[in-house]
Amino acid sequence: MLILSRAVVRLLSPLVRPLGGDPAGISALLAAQVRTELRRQRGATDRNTFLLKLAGGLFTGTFLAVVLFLLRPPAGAWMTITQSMVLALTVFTTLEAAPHLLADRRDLAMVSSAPLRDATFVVARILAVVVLVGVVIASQVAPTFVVGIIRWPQAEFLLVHLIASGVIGLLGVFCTLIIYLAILRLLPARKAREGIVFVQILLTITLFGALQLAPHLVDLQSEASIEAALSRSAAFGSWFPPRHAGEWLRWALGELPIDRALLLRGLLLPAVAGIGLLVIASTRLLERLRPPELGEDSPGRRARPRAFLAPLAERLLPDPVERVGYDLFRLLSRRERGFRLRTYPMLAFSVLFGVGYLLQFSRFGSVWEIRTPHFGIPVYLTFLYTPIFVLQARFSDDGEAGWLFDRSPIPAPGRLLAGMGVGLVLCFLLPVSLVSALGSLILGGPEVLGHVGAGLAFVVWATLLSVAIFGRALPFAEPFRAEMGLTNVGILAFTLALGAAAIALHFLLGRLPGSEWGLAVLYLLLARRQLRRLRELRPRAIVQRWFPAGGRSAGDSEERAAAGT
Amino acid sequence: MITPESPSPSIRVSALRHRYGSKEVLTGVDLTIPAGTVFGYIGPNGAGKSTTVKILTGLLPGWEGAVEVCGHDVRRSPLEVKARIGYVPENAILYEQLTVGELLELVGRLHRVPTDLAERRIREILGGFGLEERLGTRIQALSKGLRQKVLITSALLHDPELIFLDEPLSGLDVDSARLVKDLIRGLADSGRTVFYCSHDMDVVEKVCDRIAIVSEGRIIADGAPRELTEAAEQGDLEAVFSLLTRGKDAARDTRARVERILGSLAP
Repeated sequence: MLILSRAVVRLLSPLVRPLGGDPAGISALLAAQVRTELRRQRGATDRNTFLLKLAGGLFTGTFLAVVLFLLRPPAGAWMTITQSMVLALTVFTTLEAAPHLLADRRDLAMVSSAPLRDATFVVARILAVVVLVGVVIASQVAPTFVVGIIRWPQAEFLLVHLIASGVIGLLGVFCTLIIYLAILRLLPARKAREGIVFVQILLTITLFGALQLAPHLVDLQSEASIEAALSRSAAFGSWFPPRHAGEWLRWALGELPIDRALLLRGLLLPAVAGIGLLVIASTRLLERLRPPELGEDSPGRRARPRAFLAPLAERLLPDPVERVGYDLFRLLSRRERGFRLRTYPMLAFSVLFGVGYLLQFSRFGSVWEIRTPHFGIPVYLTFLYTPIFVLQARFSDDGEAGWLFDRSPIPAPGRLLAGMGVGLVLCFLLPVSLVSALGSLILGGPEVLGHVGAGLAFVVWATLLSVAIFGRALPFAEPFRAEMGLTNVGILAFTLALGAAAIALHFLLGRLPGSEWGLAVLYLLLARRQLRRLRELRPRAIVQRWFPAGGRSAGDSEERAAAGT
Repeated sequence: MITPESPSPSIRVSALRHRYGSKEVLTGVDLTIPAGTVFGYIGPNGAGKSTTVKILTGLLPGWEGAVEVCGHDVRRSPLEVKARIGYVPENAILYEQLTVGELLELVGRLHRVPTDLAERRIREILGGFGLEERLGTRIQALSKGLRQKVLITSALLHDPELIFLDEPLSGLDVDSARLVKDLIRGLADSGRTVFYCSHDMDVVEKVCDRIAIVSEGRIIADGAPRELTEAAEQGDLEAVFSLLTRGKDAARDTRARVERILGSLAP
């Protein structure tokens, strides 16, 4: 990647010099950022975040390639769908990367005091985003390219696919950065960061919703159907870049005559976006990226717990240590960017998933009876997303933050987990389950209350059980999960097995009148027992395992180094 | 040294040994610190200071010897020890997303300080530091000096008998450093014990009633600052420290290193 970065800088140096940039300076800054990103670890984990992103891109690309292989849409639709995913992934990856790449403050002090022009700094930052996002997009494009070249083994396909991916990728990066920098310019830094997180969550939910609804709205195997869908909004359709890519492929394969205006429009868009980006970025970028002013929060006011949950939490968690676990998790889950990005969309997904199930099932008219156990299933399905919340739930990415608990007289650190578990239930799993439950009640009427209740009670119990099972590695950072020998596959297997067993049991007992109420009571009793067991988790299993040396001070590493450990 | 009239010591350590892997980092430490003392614990990097502090605060298992803190055996009653001590680490990782008020409330609850009392102490202590208007400020927005004050507040919230301070003046401006030094003196005068770790010899010499110098896992000097400087026939504690930890040639060695660095800057 360093070689790629240097090549890109060399290629762009004739453009950069007239703008006042110094290619050597750009190369140095870019190399430093690329190296840092390649070595960047998420919190205290050993796993390389960049490699994870590459793996994510490859997974998405492979998934899409398989879908396209099975659906076999026509050429234009194929390219439109592929490039739509490229655009979507580019936007997401750029939004995720921009705050820490563009606004990377680690070298700001050094850069501010070096004789570098703004242009050097700006171009280096933008190129860092382009290079790193570009590599991730390439990992997504590769599988779809392989499937496409098998279907259309022609040089025209190769050329169009490469050009389209490059053009749309660049367009995605530039436009996203323009929006990001515009937000930074218009809003105070902290509000801007909140705004970006909100946009990311909204986009994720929109994309997932679109993926869920698209098969119901458009016949993906019909060019005419896709054309009709895009034409519903003529302005959008004619300016939607993936559609241009579809048209290019159809021209290249001789299916359509070339429309030079459309071709030009498609190629001009990223150029215009690039110029716009340079303009918006060039004005005092260094100044805008400075750390926020100290004390920008409103002084003198303490955050209060939400009134309607606090009494319930206090009733469920009488011990102050438990309430510490609850409050800490609740506050951090509302404020920590990484947690919100990874979990908030899941709240919508689980609802969409449940709604999708109900809609799908409503097609089978004769089975759609009142009192059917099916009405409880959308609520049970919420549990499938529980691992994401449980594994993301943490007090801190840095296990060293646990020093506060180490130094406190906590007889049973399991109480912290109990508080976190209740927080997960009250703040996330239960509310989203209630939304699914509401959908079931609206469609099925009050007669299905028992089935819905059984689903809700199951979610409560299963969440606490998950915290207990995975909880030996909580609540400080997920790297401890690896130490505890828990793998993603194992966690997924557990979730699927438990969820499937619960659903099967619900159906099996469905014919017995009142069985759903019995299940609800059983799950609630199990939940109560599980909470008690969480509280009793032995200190040795948590604190001493995590912190065998009890935290870190400046002298720690020297003493360990002196001891050769 | 305990006199017959003094109260029972805050810290009593006897033949303390500990190893990391095959290497011994503490090779037999003996300490007795009376209550109401500001005790300085200094040593070069890697000497065993941090390991000692972790053992005294009940965090590190696997050591040999006898350690009693605030009248409780650390091995048998670590929770009793933790309930009676406060700790201000150097370079503490905090919960950046919490506000000052939230963090301190959390600490108060962990130490089971009644809510009203915790709120009053938070107000008064932060007020003493001039931070009463920062209750709603997030930790991430605080400078190093302000974080240090918040840390000191958190260590005092439950009125500990013994306070461990690791470079407590780090990041503080002159006035704040003066305040903290006076606070340390006041805590000791009111019967509390302060265990002070620092590399700043000037401060240690002014603030501490007694100092122990640790090197290579054992205490090589122990006494009041003046006793140590007189016994070593040196002008200040820094010179005593250098002499004892690096030997007679320390000053010449330092001069040689400085010349080497300056020499590299010559054209």
